[in-house]
Amino acid sequence: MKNTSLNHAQAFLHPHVSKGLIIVNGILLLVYFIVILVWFEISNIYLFAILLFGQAFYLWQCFSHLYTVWETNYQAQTDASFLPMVDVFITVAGEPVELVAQTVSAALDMDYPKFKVHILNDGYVAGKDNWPEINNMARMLGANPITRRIPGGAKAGNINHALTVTRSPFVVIFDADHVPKKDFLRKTIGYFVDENVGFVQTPQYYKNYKKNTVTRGAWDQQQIFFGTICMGKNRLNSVTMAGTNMVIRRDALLEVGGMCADNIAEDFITGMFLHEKGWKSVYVPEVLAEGLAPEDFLSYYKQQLRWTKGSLEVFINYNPLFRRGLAWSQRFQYLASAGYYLSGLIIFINSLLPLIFFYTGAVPFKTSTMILAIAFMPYIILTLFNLQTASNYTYSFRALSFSMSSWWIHIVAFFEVLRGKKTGFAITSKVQVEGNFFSLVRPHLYYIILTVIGILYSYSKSGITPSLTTNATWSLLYVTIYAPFMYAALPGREYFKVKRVSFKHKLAQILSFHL
Amino acid sequence: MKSFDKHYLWIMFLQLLAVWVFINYSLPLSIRLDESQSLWQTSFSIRELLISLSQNVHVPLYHLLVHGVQVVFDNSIFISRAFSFVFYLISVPVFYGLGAYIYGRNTAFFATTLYGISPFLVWFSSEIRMYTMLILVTILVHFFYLRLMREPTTLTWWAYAVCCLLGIYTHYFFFLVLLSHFVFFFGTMRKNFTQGQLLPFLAIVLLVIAAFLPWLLKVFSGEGVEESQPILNPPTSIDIFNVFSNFFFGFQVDAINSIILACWPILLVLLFLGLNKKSAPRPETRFLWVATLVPLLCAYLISVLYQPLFLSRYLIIVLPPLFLLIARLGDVYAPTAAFFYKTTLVLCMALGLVVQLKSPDTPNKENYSAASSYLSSAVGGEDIVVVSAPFIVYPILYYYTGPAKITTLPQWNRNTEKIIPDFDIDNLPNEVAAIAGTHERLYLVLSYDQGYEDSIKSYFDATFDREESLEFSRDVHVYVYRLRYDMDYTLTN
Repeated sequence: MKNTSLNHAQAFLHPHVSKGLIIVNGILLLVYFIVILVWFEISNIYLFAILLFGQAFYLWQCFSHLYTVWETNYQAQTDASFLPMVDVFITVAGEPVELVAQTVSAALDMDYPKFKVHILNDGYVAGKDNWPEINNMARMLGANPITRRIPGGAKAGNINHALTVTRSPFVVIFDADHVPKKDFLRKTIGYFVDENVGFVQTPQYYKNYKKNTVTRGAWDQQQIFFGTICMGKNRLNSVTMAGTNMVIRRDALLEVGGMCADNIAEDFITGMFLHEKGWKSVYVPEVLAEGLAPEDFLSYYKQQLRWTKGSLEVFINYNPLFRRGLAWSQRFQYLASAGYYLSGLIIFINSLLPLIFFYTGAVPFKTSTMILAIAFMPYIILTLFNLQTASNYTYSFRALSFSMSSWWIHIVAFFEVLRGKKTGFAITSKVQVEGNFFSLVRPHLYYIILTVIGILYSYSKSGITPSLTTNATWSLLYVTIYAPFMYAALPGREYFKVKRVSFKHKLAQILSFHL
Repeated sequence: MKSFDKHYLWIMFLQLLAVWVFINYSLPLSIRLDESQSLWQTSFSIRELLISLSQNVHVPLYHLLVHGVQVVFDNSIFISRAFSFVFYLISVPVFYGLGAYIYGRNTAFFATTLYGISPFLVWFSSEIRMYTMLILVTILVHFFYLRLMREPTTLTWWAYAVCCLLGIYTHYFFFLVLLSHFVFFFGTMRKNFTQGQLLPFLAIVLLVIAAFLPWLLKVFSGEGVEESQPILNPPTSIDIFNVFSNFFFGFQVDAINSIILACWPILLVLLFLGLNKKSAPRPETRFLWVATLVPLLCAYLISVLYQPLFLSRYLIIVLPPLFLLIARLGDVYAPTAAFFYKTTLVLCMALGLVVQLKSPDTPNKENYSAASSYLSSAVGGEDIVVVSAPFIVYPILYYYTGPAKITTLPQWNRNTEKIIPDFDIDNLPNEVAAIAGTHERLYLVLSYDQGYEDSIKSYFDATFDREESLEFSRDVHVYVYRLRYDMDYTLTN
C-alpha cells in the first residue's frame, strides 16, 4: 500500500514486514560476519579487533531489530465500555502561555465522561517568570493548576508531587506542547480493563516536522521508533515509556515509588520498573496527540545529549541484564534500546579506519578480491529494504544521517557518564533559537579536512591504488552521511539578516564616531 | 493530438552517434574469435549449419538469419556486422518506449542516454553475434509482459508469445528472462495479475516448451557437443563485479578496471541517498528488480554448480531492466543530488566509451587481422605456422593468405574433430617434433591462454632460437623461431 493514500501522520504506523525477508536478512548478516571473521588474512591485529568489535555490535543491533519487528500486528484486549475516572497531567516549566493553553483546551475538549485536567506548573520552582500567568490561564479555561513550592526531581518530581494531591485510578501525562486529540482517552483507557496493564503508550508525533531541516531530521528519526519498533515491543510486553502521550495506572506507578527521579531518562526507567514488577504495557499505534520537535540545532543537540546520557546511565546504574523480574525478551529489548546510544562510538571508530589507512597504510585485513563487497552488499541492500518496508517507506536518508552523525553527541555523553557528571533535566525549547551552531559539528568538519589531507598524502606516497580508492570512497560515504547533519547546524537566513543589520549598525556607529 | 516528444530528436542523435562510431571505430576492427566462428558456421548449408549449432552452445535463429543475409548480399564482415548493428539501432527507440511506458518520458530519456553511450552495448552493437538481437527481443518481451500486467488484450498476448518464441531461438539465456517473468507472475499474482490471466500465461509456457522441444531433441539426438570454445573458469567475486563494470564502463585495461571495482563503496552512497522517496516501489520497479536479479543469480548458480557461463555478454539480458532501475534512482534523489548523480554517471560512461574506442590496449580488441597480414607476408612455403589455443585458427584463417601450412597446438582439425584434444605436456616434444619436421621457420601464434600458453612458449624458447617477438594486440602474440640453419634463407624466401 502506498503511504500517499494515508494521512502522513499515520503512514509510519502501517509497516509491511515480511518474515521471509527478515530470515534472509538474518542469514545474510551472519554470512557477512563469518566472512569478516574467517575469510581474510589479518593485516593489523589491532585494527582487525576494532573492526570485529564494531561488526559484532552491528550484528547485535541488526538481530535485535529484526527480532523486534518480526511481528508488529499484536493487538491487546480492550473494552470501550471501561470508563473509570482519569487525572490528566500537563507538565509545564516555563513554556509559552499560548502553547500551554492550546494543550489545555484540547485536553479539556477530550471526549470522555469522567476526567479532570491538572496543570503541573513547575515554573515556580524552575524560576520561570510566567508561572502565575500559566495558573491564571488554567483557571480561566477550567483546569486545575498544581504548583509545587519545593523543587526536586525535575519533571519526575513534578509528577510525583501531583500524585500526592490527586486520586483518580488512572493518570494521563502530556508534555506542555503535546496537544491531545478528542478521542485520546476513548482509545487508550479501554486497555486497562486487563488489571495487569500498568501503562499505555501512544506515539510522540511532531506536527511541526515540515518546518526546517532540524524538525524533519528529528521526525524522520522518530518514525521508525514509534512505528515498527514500538509495535514490535508491544508484542514482547516491552513498550518503552516515552514520558508523554501515555496513561499510567496509579497503583502501578505508586508500587514502583512514582516516576524515577534519579535519572534524566525518568520515563524509560520507570517503564522498566513497572515491567519488573510484572505490570504489562500496551502500545496504541495511532497518533492521538501532536507535539513539537526541537526547531533548532542547539535544542536538538541538547535533547539528544540528554537522551543519550539517560540511556547510558541505565547501563551503569540499572543494567537491564541484571534486573530481576524482567523476562529475557524484556531484558533484551531494554538492552537494545539503551544500546542504540553506544552506536556513535562504533560509527566513530569505523570512520577512523580509512583515515588510519591514509596516514599509515595500515588496514585490518588483506583482501585482493571483491569478496567483502559480495558479502556486504546483499546484506546491506536487504537491510535497507527491510527498514523501508518496516517503516512503510518513511525511513529517509535524513534519518540515517541524523542517527549516524550523532556519534559526537554519543561520545560526549559516554565520557560525561563515565566521569559521573550530572545533567539536570532541561526542557527542549518549543520555539526556534536563532544562532550559528556550526561549532557543534566541528568534529565532523575536522573529519572532512583530515580526509582530504589524508587522501592527498596517501596519493603522494603511492599514487592511485585500489586500496586508496576503496578507502577514499568509504570516507566519501561518511562525508555524504554527515552532510545533511552539518547543513542543519548552519544558521538560518534570519540569523544572517540580524547579523547584517548589526554589522551595518556598528559600521554606522564607527563612521559617525570618526566623522 | 499528442504533442511531439522532443526526446525523439535526442534518440535520433544517439542513433547517428552509433552509426558514426560503427563506421569509424567498429568496422575497421579486426574480426574477433566469436565473429570468425559465426562466419565459419554461417558459410555452411542450412542443414550443416543446424547440425553444427546443435552441437555448439547456441540456438540457431541468428545464424540462420545471417546465413540468409549472406546469401542475398555477401559474406563480408561489413554486411554481417551491419546486420547486427541494425538490431541495435532499432533497440534504442524501443528501449525508450519501454522506459516511457514504465516511468514516463524523462526517466526514459535518461535511461536511453545511458543505453546509447554504454561502452558495453556499443561494443556488441556491431559484433557478428546474436547479442543485439537478444537485447531487442528482451526489451520487447519485457514491454509486452508489463502491458499484460496493466492492460491485457488478445493482441498483447499474441505479441508476447511471438517475442517468447523469437527469444528462445535467439539465445539460451533468454530462458532466464522468461524465468524472471514466471517468478514475478507467480510471486505477485494476487497483487498484479488477475485469475483470468493465469490460463493464457500457462498456455504460453506450454507453447514455449513445445516450440523448443524439436531443437532439444536435435541437440540430444546429435553426436555429442562440440568443445571448440575457450574454457571458462567458475566465476569469482571479481567476475561478478566485472559484469557491472563492463555494463557501465565497458572493457578497460586491468589497471583502470581494478580502480573502478575498488570504488564499490560508492554503491552504498547511491543506496543511502535513495532513502528519500516516501512511497513504496511500484510493481514495475519490483518487476525490474526481479528481471535483473533472477538471471544474474541463476547464471551464477549454474556457473558454480554445473558449468561456468557467467559472461557479461550472455548477461546482456540484464541490461535493460538494470539501466531503467539506475535511471529511476535519479528520480528518487533530491534535485541537487539527482543532477550530480546523472551528470557524473553520464560523464564517466562517456569517458569509458572514449577510452574503449581510442585505446589500443582495450582488452577485447583482438587484432588477428594484423597478425594474419604479417604472417601472410612473412612466411614462405618451407615455414609452418602454429596456432595456440587451437580455436584461434578461426580468425587467423579468415585473413591468412600465406603459402605456409597452418597447424594448431595441441593438434586439431576443425573440419573432422568436434573436440579439441587436451594439452599434454609430456607429449609436447613429440608433437612439436612432428610439427617442426623439415620446416625452416616456425611462426607461433599465441592467444586466449587456456592454461598451457606459458608451457608452450617456454618449450619453444628452450628448444629453438627465437628470432622475433611481436605483439599485435593485448592478447595476440607471434613468435618466430628458426628451426634449421642448413637452408639459405635469402634464396628460399
